Amino acid sequence: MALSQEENPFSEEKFEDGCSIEECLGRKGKNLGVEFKSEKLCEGIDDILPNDPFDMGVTLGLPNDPFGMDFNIGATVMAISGWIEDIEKNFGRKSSGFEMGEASGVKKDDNKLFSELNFILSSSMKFELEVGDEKGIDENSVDSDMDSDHGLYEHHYLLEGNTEESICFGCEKYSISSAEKKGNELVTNNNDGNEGAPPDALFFALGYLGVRDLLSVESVCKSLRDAIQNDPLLWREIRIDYPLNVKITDDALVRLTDRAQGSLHSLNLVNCFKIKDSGLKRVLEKHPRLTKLSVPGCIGLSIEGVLTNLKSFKSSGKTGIEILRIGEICSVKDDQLKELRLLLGEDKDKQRTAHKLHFYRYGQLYLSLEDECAIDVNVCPRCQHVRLVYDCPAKSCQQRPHTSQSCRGCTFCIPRCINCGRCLNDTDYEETFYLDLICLNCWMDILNCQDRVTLSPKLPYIHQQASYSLFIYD
Amino acid sequence: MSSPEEKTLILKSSDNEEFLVKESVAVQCITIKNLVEDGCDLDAIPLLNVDSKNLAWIIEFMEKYADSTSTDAEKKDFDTEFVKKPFNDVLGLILAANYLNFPALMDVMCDACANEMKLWSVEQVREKFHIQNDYTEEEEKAVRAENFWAFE
Repeated sequence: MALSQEENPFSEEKFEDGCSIEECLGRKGKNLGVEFKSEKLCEGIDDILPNDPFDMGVTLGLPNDPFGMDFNIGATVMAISGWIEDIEKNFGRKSSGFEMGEASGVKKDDNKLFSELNFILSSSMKFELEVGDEKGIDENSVDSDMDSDHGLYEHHYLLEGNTEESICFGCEKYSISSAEKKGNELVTNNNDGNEGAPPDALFFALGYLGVRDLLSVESVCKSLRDAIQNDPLLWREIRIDYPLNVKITDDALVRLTDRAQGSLHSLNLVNCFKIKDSGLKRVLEKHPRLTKLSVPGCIGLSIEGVLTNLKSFKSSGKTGIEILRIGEICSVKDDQLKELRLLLGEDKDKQRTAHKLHFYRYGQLYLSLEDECAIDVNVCPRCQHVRLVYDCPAKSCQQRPHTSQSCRGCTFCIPRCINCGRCLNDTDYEETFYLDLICLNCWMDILNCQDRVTLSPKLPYIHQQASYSLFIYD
Repeated sequence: MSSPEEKTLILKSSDNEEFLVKESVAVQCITIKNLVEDGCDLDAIPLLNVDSKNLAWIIEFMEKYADSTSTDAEKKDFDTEFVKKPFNDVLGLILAANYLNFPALMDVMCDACANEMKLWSVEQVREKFHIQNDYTEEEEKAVRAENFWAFE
């Protein structure tokens, strides 16, 4: 349905340089390989803002520009296409975001931008430079609303002030002036003039990277690959958690642990549901010096399998596992717990004196391997089932330790706040979206905190909430 | 007011600048501790692989950590501020900490470097460290195939 002459907003519009919209659209459209025709455009607008959407011959009186923005779809489309064109012109085709290829293979062009997340950071920085210097961007093609978008990026991504603390330590490298001065020359390698080789300091830092980062850095160059694959010291303590936990299979686990060349002494598999008893057996067979084993949430394992594995592990003359964590892999019976304690060589007297309070807090639900307890599960004093048992941080509850009334039990018997770990018997609480419970004090703290940009380190719940994952088990 | 038994050492950087440090503070560096225990009686202990810029920072760090009045939280805040240096300097401090065998500083600086690297892609690591990609296409494919399970 063609717009009437009165409704056509374009016919009389011209830009500052004198060309009409239709001319400009035609020119820009040709550059992009697209043809704009004013009639088609008018029809397009009509489709977007139809006054008679169902062709009933009734004018619904929908305003074309309800917010008085001088809504001009032609100008907006042209502005956006001009913006994209300028990005492509200044930074290369790939950086426009429409061809976000993998960071594989060497980038041969002069484009110094980083892929993925850093794309926006860098391009927004350059926009700030160029808009200020009045070069690069065709002012006619930039809608005034775009400037506020730059401001938006700056607020979120340019690292100045408080936001810097949460992400990086080198404030200089993110400031515009230093980028200009240094020209992206950020690192001088201290490797005795061996150009192109990784700096020596990098090899020291490898030991502080997680498994996923180590596997990623292998792809950088051969010397790093050789260092990572062949240095058993990097693989003596292995921890697999999110996001590798959902991907790791028995074969992958065996290949990883093989890198320790028999010197593996601590293995922590958090929620690795694909790992089976047979896979764990293969690992134990190859690593006689393993003394710490943690498999919380590894529901592919069975308690019978764990017992069998530990028995055969110990029987072949090895020290055996001394510290075991099996939180919530399956239900454990009393006699199985006793058998496990025997296998671990638990000293009962030491167990009582070494007992540290264990609170129910997100990120600390499972007992750490650094804790001296031989095994994490216990008999709940209330229901007598074998479960993870928590203490209470509330002051009123701490006055009655080790008594029948002590506030110590599994979460089925004593529901607790996911943030501070206190019992919820005599306090109000909320249930979160993830079905955790949170006491009112913590809840109010979180709500008050959200008004400010910086979050208190005393409230780990907010940071860790972002790392919740939903697993769908077959 | 230091006690009369408190010994001070002179540490000399590679560019011949001298720094006065209490012995109890300086022995956090195992290298210096070994020299002292072996009866080094030189006027100044030469640290040939540490320049004055790095040595000044290392002494600042040592003094903070040797201070028994500072709490763990204060040390953590200090660490957060301490690592806010240009990346080149972070790498320089890692090498200096290794030479001096100073475990606490090594932990803090390597942690900072690792935390930074976690945000980078493979290409960014190459770019930031000026590392030449010496893989052939087949070799690179082989490495990716081996670790494919972790990144699919």
